[in-house]
Amino acid sequence: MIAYILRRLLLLPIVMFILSALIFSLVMFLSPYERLAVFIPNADAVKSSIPYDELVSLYGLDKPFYIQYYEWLKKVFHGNLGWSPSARMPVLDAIARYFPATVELMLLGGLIIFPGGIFLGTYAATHHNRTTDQAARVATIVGVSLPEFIFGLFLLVIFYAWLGWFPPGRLSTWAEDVVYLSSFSRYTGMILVDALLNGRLDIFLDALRHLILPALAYSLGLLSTMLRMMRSSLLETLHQDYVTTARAKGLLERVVITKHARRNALLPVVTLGGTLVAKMLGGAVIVETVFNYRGMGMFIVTAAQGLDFSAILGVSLLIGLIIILTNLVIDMLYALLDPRIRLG
Amino acid sequence: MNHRKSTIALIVISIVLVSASTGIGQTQPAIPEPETFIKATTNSVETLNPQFMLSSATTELSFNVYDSLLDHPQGDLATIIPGIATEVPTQENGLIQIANDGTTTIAFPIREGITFHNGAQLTPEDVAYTFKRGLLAGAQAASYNMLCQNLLEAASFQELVDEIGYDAAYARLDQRIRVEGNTVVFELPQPFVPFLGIMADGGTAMGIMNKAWCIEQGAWPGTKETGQEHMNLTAENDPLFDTMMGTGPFQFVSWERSERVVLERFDDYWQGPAKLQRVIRKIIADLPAGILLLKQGDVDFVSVSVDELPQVEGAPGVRVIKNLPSLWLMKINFVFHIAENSSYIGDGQLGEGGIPPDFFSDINVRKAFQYCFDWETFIEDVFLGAALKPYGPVLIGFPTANPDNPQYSLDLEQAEAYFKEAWDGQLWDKGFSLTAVYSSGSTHRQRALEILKYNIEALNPKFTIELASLPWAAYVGAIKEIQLPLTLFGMLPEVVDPYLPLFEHMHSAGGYAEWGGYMEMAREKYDPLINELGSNYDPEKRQELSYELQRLAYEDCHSIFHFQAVEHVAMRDWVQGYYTGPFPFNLDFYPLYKAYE
Repeated sequence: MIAYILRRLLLLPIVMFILSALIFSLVMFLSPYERLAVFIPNADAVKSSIPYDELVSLYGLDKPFYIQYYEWLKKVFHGNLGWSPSARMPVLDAIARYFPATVELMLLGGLIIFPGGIFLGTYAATHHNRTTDQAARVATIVGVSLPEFIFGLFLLVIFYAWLGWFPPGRLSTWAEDVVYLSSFSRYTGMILVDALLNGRLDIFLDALRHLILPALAYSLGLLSTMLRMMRSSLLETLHQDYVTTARAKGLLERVVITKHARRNALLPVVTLGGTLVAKMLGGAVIVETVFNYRGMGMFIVTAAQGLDFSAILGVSLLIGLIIILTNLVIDMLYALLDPRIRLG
Repeated sequence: MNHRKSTIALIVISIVLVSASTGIGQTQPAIPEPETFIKATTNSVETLNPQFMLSSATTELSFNVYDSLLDHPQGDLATIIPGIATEVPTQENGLIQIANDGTTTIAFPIREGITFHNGAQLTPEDVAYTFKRGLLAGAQAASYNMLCQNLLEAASFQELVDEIGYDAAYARLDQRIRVEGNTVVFELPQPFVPFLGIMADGGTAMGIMNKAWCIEQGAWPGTKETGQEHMNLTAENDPLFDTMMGTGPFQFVSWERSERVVLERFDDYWQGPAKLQRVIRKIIADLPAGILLLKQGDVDFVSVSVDELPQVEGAPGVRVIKNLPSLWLMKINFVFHIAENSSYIGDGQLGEGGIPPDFFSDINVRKAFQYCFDWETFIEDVFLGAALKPYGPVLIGFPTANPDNPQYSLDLEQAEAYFKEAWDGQLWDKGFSLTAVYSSGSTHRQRALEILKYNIEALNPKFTIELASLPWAAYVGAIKEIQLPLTLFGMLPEVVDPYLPLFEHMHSAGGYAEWGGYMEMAREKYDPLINELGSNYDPEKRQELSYELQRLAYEDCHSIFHFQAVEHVAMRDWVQGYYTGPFPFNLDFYPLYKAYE
């Protein structure tokens, strides 16, 4: 298995290189003036007196593709992903700043989606065609059909506009002052974790209060998908001969389900898990915008709107890396779940 | 026992009645953090260096942190008053002197006793350094471009270096901005009337910096030998990109990119401390979130578009101020010579399949299009009636804007007559087809083109206007590459002088003449008049020139001036001291405070 992992990891730089060249060449289809637009802030506040030609030359946008790509690549090898005009900071700094916020959201969302989906899916399958199963089926249809931004707005109106419980943003103003202006150490960039490491329970609770609604809005659709997959996979497994044999041996139903049926039913769920990680990254874009939650989703939206190609390239590479690593982890999980699968 | 119960009941009823009659149950909510003002905005901050700010929205920060040589009274942009300079230079007080060859010296006596936020005293050397550094570094703010053009006679310092070499360029810079005793003198090769207006832009681009502090941050050390290393700065290598330090009423505390900027009151401000202790400019992803925060009292101020007005009007505790005039004029420009490779002109021939690249060079076509635009419907549909129909290129509210200047209005009969005249009478029979493009998400651009399309196509079935949208970035690129037959672009002059919009719209160096393809017309007809307008201090002569140029803009019909914008703002009812400036969404935090009236 180690040889397999090493081989996959060695392929990583090649995949990254192809990915970056592809995105870079796509960006180069735009004219230098189109690419200059990222350096010009606001659509209606733009003046004709802006020195467009000088700016194009200043930022080297008129140089040939291969020179611009070579210069970018040279910087990457020096650990510099370039400057992001939309984030107003180096791309690496922007990723370091916004990615932990999204990871925090993904982790909380993941806690709802994966254990929740597996548990509820198991429950629905083992209570097949009963009221709870029917309710779960209806709920999943609603969950899958309801767009995240609608559900998000719905949550905001009820829990913030009416009840005032869960505000948008990442922190309250007083907590922002503590995090940004005091000696609060930002070890991981994930405020929940950092608050605990700094011994600030008040900040932890404030951050959690801000995270609950986006995490809920984020998870509903994916939880439904996970639940449906778990339910159908387990239902199929429960009709397999070896499950009947296990029951015939007189094993307890709980043991049959957890030890025999669910383990095998998890294989397609794990495959889906990989896809869901990618979907979670996509979902962050919408949820973060609705809840004014500054994470990588909002960063990439702003970057894409302004054709901030350094940022687009940097984030694409990061997402590519995450997807590749996720797939690697899934392959390894297959081997763990099903001993018949051998990697090599 | 019964007596006791009756007594308690009586007390409870009395309390309830007294509370109701005195309105105890209806008291206004407590003001959260009365000394902290929070503004929510969707405009993020591009840079903290005022000399490089391109967006009007960002200049709010420099306006409150820096001071400039001259200023305006609150809300009155037509009047110039002293700022860091103790007097407004005029020919009468001898601070403006014009030599026979036109060389103009403008002297600014510098006020003493002004303290920077770091405790240093402001000196004339700081003033001279600020401008020299801005020019040398290639400051991109529009006011600096104008200053460079009129002070150094080049579009940029780099251009001057390319032209005459670094030594000569530096010598010119050094000669034209100099310290003489307690005075800073600017030497212009020709008189330039808007110069004072540029210096009075309220500390936005022209804010005065502290030389020693700038050097500490890694900026140009102020010597000729080091100048070349500090030219052509980008945000990435600008040492003042993420920090500010001026003499204004608020000092910079922190900038968390894309999240917030925090300012704090400067107690030693030379005009006395502000009322607010702290200002937070919170950046939000979209307006609905900002409106929710406002309604909850978590922010004090947001700027709203007409679409969002129903969400804030009538909301408890929220005050809405509508229809505030702003210095933003939009126009639909005819491009006289479209690029031949344009994909928006069909087959490039006059007929139902396209238009020739010089389609709009025929004035009859331009006039016909003008008569097809319906201002009333447009302003009603897009702005619910709350926008102004411009008189011409000079914005309403500017000196010499002429309300009697002839204007076009919807007249389909006139339009038909002009179309029949166009292209030697061929256009009406052959027809035309073009694609008009707007930037995605820009409702006002889209609606303006829809109105034009509807009215034009109704005149003749052989006339076709397709509509398409491009992302903003691509839209700017297409305009710059002269790909679009019609361009919808605005003018936002920051200095209230008719020279600016007229220069931008009609001068051969103003930008639009080049994009619109009327350079020859500009050089021959408009440049001499505009140059005189820029250099003549006589108000009557200036009015005459401005009126003539406005008339020519009507006659030659380069653009449809379709609206001058108004803005709407919403704030908590405890916000006091708000007044509107050129951009109502940009706040002067100095007079603001939080209290119920």
